Amino acid sequence: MARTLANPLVPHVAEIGTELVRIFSDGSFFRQLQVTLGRVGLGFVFAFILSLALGIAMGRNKYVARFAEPAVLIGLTVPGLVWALLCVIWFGISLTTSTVAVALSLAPPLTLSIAQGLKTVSAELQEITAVYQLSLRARLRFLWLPTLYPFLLNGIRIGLSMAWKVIVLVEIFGLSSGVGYRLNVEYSSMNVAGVLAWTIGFALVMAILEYGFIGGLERRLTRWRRVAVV
Amino acid sequence: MSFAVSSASSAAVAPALAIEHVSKRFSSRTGTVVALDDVSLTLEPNESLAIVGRSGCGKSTLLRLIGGLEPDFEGRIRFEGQDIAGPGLDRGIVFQDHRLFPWLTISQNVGIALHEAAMPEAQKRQRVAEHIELVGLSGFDDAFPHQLSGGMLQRAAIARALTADPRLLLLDEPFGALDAFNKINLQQELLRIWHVRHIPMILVTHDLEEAIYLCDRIVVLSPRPGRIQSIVPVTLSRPRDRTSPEFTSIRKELLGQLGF
Ligand SMILES: Nc1ncnc2c1ncn2[C@@H]1O[C@H](COP(=O)(O)OP(=O)(O)O)[C@@H](O)[C@H]1O
Ligand SMILES: [Mg+2]
Repeated sequence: MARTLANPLVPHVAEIGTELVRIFSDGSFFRQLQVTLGRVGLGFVFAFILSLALGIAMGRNKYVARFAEPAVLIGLTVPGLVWALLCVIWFGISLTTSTVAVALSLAPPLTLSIAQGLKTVSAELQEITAVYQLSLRARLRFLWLPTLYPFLLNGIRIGLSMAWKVIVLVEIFGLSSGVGYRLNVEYSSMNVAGVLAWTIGFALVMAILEYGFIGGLERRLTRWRRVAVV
Repeated sequence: MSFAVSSASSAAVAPALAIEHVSKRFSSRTGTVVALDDVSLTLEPNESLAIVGRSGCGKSTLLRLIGGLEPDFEGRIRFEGQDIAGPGLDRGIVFQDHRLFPWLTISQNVGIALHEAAMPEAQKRQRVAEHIELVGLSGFDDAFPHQLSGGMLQRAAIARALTADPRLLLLDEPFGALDAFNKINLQQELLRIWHVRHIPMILVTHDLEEAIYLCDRIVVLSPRPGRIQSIVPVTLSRPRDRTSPEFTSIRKELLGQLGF
C-alpha cells in the first residue's frame, strides 16, 4: 500500500528506510533508547518490589487481600494515559514522573499475578519448610519464588508491553528526551516517516528483549523441568 | 535410705517419646471426625515401632502430631521430656510422597535440612555428601528429582530427614508407592541405616510384612474413632526371614486383629 500511494500521510517504504538508517547511524536512536529503557527499568524495579511484597502479603493473608484488592482492581482499569498525565501534573519534568507512572501502571497486573501464583504454592512443600525451620528469606528463595517464576515471567511480559506505552506518553507530555520525545518531535514536524522509523526501531528492540532476555531467563529458571519427548 | 529410689531400675531409662491420652478431632462444615481417641503410647530409646491399621484410622494423624504438624489436640506428647510445640529438627520425617523441591538438585534438597544450622558451609557440604552416600545415591548429587526413580527419590527423602541429625525418625508409608522389589530393597536399607544411627523410629505402614520385618513392636489401630486396639511385640532376631513360620504366624495374628 505504501508503495502505491505516494502520499505525505503514508510515506514510501524507502523513505522510512532512509529515516531508519539516519537515526541508527547518527547514534540518536541508541542515545534516546538508553534514556527510555533506563526510565522503564527504574519504574520496573519499583513496581517489582512493591508487587512482590503486596502480592505475597495478599496471597498469605486474607485480610490484606480483602483490603488491597479494590485498589489493585481499580489500578488495573485506570488507563496508562491517565497515569502519565497525572504524574506529569504531580511531579513535573523529572525522573520521578517516569518512574512513578511506569510503576503505577505495572504494579496492579504484577501484584494480581503474584497473588494468584501464591495460591499454587504446594502445601506439602510448605510443611517441609516448616519441618526444617526455614527462615522467611529461605522460604522466599526455596519455595515461593520458584513457584512464582512462571507468574513473574508472565507479569514481566505483559508489564514490558504496558510500560513501553506509558513511558512514551510521559515522554510526549512532559519530558525533553527519550524515544517518546523524539516521536513527538517528528510528529510536530509532520515527518510521518520519522514517526514510523522510531516506532519500528523501538518495536525491534522490544522483540529482542522478549526473545533474548526474557526467553533466556525463562530457559534458565525452568531447566529443572522434565520435558516430554513425544 | 534411698533404696526405694535406686531400686526403680525400670525408671532409669526414660522413654524417648511419651504419648498420653491424646485425642484429635477435625471439624468441618460437614461434621466432626474423631481421628484419634485417647491414645497412650511410649517409645523406648532405639526402639522401632510400627503403626498399622486400615485406611483412615488415624495413622498419619498420629505421626503428624508427633512431628508437630498439627497444632490443636487434647492430651500430651512429650519428646525427651519436653512437650512438643511445633515441628523441629530433632525429629526427621519422611512422607509417602518424597516432597523434594523439584527445582533443587538432590544435594540442594538434602542441604535444606541444614540450611538454618549454625555450621560452616564446608561442614554442611560434607554432611550432605555423607548422607547421600549413606542412602546409596552417590553420583546423583547434581541430578534434579525428575531424573530419579521413585525408589531413589525416597532414598533422597530419607537422607534429608537424617542430615540434621534428628533423635527420632518418623516415616509415613515411606515405601507405599514403590514396586515390590524396590520395597524389599529399601526396607533392608532402612534397617541398615537404623542400626547405624541408633535412634528410635516410628513407621506408619499398611504393609504388615514391612512392619514385622523392621519393627520391635507393632501398634494396631482401629478406625473411627482411632484407638489402639493392641500392641504386638516382635522378638525375632534380625535379619528376619520373611518366609519363616514365626514370621508368618505373627502376620496371621495381625491379619486376625485387623478383621481379615
Ligand atoms: N486435615 C484434615 N481435615 C479433616 N479430616 C481429616 C484431616 N486429616 C485427616 N482427617 C480425617 O481423619 C481420619 C484419619 O486420617 P489419617 O490419619 O490420614 O488416616 P490414615 O493415615 O490412617 O489413613 C480420616 O477419617 C480422615 O478423613
Ligand atoms: Mg495415611
